[in-house]
Amino acid sequence: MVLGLISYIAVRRFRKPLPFLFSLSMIPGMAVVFSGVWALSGSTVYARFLPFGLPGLPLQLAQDPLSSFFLVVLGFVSVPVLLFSTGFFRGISPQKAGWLLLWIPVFLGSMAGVLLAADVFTFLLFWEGMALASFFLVVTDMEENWVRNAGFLYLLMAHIGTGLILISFILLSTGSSGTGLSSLSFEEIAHSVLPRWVPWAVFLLALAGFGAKAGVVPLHIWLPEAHPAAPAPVSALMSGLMLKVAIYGLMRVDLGLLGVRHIVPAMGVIVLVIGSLSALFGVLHALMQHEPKRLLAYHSIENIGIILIGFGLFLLFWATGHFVPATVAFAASLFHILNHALFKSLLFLGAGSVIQKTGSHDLNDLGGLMKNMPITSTFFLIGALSISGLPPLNGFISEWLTFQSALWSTTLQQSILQSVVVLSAALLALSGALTAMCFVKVVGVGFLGNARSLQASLAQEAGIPEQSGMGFLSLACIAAGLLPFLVFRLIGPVIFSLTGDALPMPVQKNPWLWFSPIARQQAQYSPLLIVFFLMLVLGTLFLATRWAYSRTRVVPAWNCGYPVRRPRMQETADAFGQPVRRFFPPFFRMERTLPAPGDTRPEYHLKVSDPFWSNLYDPLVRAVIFISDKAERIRNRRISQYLLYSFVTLSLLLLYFEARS
Amino acid sequence: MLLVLVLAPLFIGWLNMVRALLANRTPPGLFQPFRDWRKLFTKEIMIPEGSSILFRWIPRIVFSLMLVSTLLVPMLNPHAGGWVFGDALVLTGILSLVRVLMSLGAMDSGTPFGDLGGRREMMVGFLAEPATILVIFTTYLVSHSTMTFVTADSLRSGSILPTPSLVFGGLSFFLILLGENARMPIDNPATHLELTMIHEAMILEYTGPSLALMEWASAVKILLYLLLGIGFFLPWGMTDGFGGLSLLLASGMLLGKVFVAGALLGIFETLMAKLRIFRVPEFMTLAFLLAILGFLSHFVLET
Repeated sequence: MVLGLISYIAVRRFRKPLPFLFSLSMIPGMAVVFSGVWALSGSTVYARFLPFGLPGLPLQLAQDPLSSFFLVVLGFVSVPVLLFSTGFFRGISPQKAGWLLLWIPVFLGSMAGVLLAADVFTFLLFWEGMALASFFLVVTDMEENWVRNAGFLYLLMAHIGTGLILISFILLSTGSSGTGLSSLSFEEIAHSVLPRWVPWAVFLLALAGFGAKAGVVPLHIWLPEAHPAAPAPVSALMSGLMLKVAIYGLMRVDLGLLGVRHIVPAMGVIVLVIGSLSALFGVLHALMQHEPKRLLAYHSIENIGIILIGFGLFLLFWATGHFVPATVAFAASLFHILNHALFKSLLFLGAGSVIQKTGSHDLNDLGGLMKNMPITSTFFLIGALSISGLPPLNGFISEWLTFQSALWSTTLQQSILQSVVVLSAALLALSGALTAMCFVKVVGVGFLGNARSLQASLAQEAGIPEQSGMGFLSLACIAAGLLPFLVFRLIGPVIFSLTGDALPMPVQKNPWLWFSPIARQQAQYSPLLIVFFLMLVLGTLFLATRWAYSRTRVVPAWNCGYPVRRPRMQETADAFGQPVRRFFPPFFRMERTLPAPGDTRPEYHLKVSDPFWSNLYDPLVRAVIFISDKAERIRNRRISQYLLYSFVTLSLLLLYFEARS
Repeated sequence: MLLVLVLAPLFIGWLNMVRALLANRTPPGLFQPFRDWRKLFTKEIMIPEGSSILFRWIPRIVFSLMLVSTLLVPMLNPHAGGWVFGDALVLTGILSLVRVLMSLGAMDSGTPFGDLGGRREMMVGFLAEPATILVIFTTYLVSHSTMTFVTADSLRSGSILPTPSLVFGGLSFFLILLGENARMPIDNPATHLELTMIHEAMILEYTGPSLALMEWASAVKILLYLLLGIGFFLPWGMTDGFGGLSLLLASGMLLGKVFVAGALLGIFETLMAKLRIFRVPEFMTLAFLLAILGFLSHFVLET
């Protein structure tokens, strides 16, 4: 596997100067990732390799079930995305093709490296590689000013995150019994004895550090900027995979390195609250967007929130000794990681195709694509139904599992914990329903109805590679929805290895048909049966109404008798979000100009922005500028004053140590 | 399933009869929905220009989904459901799928009215969802299961007087029923005024058999909510046996309950005035708060 990884990077690097081989060079990479992952997926054994490294500083790689699971996700999503890009990047300049060809493999390789890293140094090395490669990918279209700005914002947030992660690792290694560099290996850290305050500090630092990468509120601000700037397949990889790698880091530190013994209920509450807030905030802002990729970026924030709700429930239940709901919540969280990787990359690819074929970044210019691009639209619809958490697709299962786990709140002893769990379940339901509304908006405005612009009415279907990439992901969404036990085969070992507790899945005669996490009497779900009954009824109905449906006539829409009807009179994406804007005012910052009653040339403007910019980041920036201004004043002095500074500092330090000893 | 299929139009007929009687009009008769739909089925189907294949298929898919979801509702015998394919959460999931598909179909017609209806339907949906989840949580407290049949069984075995938590849960569920089925304080089923309509705006462009299927599906939906409410909060009268007589008796009880509920619903709707659309959140927040009260009162009063 590791060899595969190296050769994978190597192959790609050497092919770099041959941009005309762009589409070909994807294939060996795909094959390597795919075969490597295939070999992994079944293995639950802890394997350790020391294959390469710098003198005196070997890079330690190891593979355990947790990293295997994420590797499976990585391979499963990157293959169709690469397949898609072979067609998607057909027309770009050789220079950019070379650029992408260099950085996409480095990006994928370093993600795999992060997942396999077994010591702090390797982890951070690959982590930085991942951040840099993705930064270069975001700024692919660097001629544009806003793209560069988005890239720098992303780089800044990524490095703040890395800094925090670094500190948390240093704290972790203080308790390690090994000496020198060996104290940095994950295995040593996992067995270290830590002072009492350290787990808390590590937990908070890791949450903030990995959260900045995963796009947790309030550290999410780079996401909605970076995704519209990056090319669609890059967005798909970043949103589908890189955010998951950040979640992997969080799970690795909290469960693998700190270990489940250090978890306290309050940690679960913190994760739960942050997760619920991210979920609600993400979806509310997604509803305000009319640019497909920015909208999807906000949905990534929401889905990371849902993943964290599951993880928070796990921490909370585990720390209070309720192991059954804890494992179910953990399973829900992992399941949602896979789901989000699948449907979010699918949606990003679909949006990318639409933007490429219509040339418009604005939903309000689209419409009627179901007729021009039927295949892309169908795949997008599948992704939309999955992300909305609707049965029988995959998004439903992880939300269902989360609810199943949250129902156990009644067994908790403290009422404050109970109410947190119940409220977060209600928020999850709310954000699920809002997601459905948002995707009714995207599909309804973008793909249904009549075209609102000439480009949209002339759009053509995407090419075969694009279609097959999206088709693969759609099939995966459907398969994971209909056969959840397959996914559970992957999840089970992960949970067992990290917690030492197996999933409470009851033994059943037909696991592929009945899915029930705890007990059949308590809850069960059979997606296959739903589809079976639906097909049965639908088939009967089809036969029964065949005659009635044979007499159809295409006519102008009745429209309640209003004579004038233009495509522009259809709902816009912004109008669709209007009730939400009205119901949740504190989540938005709005600037609006309304026309006066007697205005002869009425104008209407609306700008909805993220309140975290104006309330958190702008004051922060002002504070930094203020402090540096003040600092400037004491800096610009004569040499005697500098000497005085050092003298004062020295005396203060001496006094301090004198006082301590 | 077939029972609901036939019962649903009768229920709508009965509801309209009550409303007509209360308004001093001559009622159209119990079988009026059948007469309407029979006529619709003989007409041809008009497809609005610019709509896609979704528009043709959505009435049939929606209708089938509604029929399939009736399998999850306990009606006569709570032991009959050992094999069913989902729990209450799955049921809400399927109903959300129906809602999403109906809204998409409305937006596919490419008219401002369809878009407006779709948007408002989704709005009511997201307002009702948290309350629905909390009602399920409340019933879970008593029955320790989300399986609808198990819940009905365990709630039935209690005393005939419902516990406070179930009273609150039932009230909340009633408000959800009104909201989800486009009934009176949320939506007026008898108006075509663009300022107010939700459900009607969505099905404006459907004609002939498509329209009949959509209306039939809505009838099934309201009856399904009612039966679910009865099964959860007023489950007495269900039978344990599978014999002909006991089932007959249980269906008699059920029909009686549906009959009374229809009359009460008709009276309630006649007395209520339509809410402004932006007052709907307050209405749904009331449902949410009632559900929370039900949840809390279980801990305060019943343990």
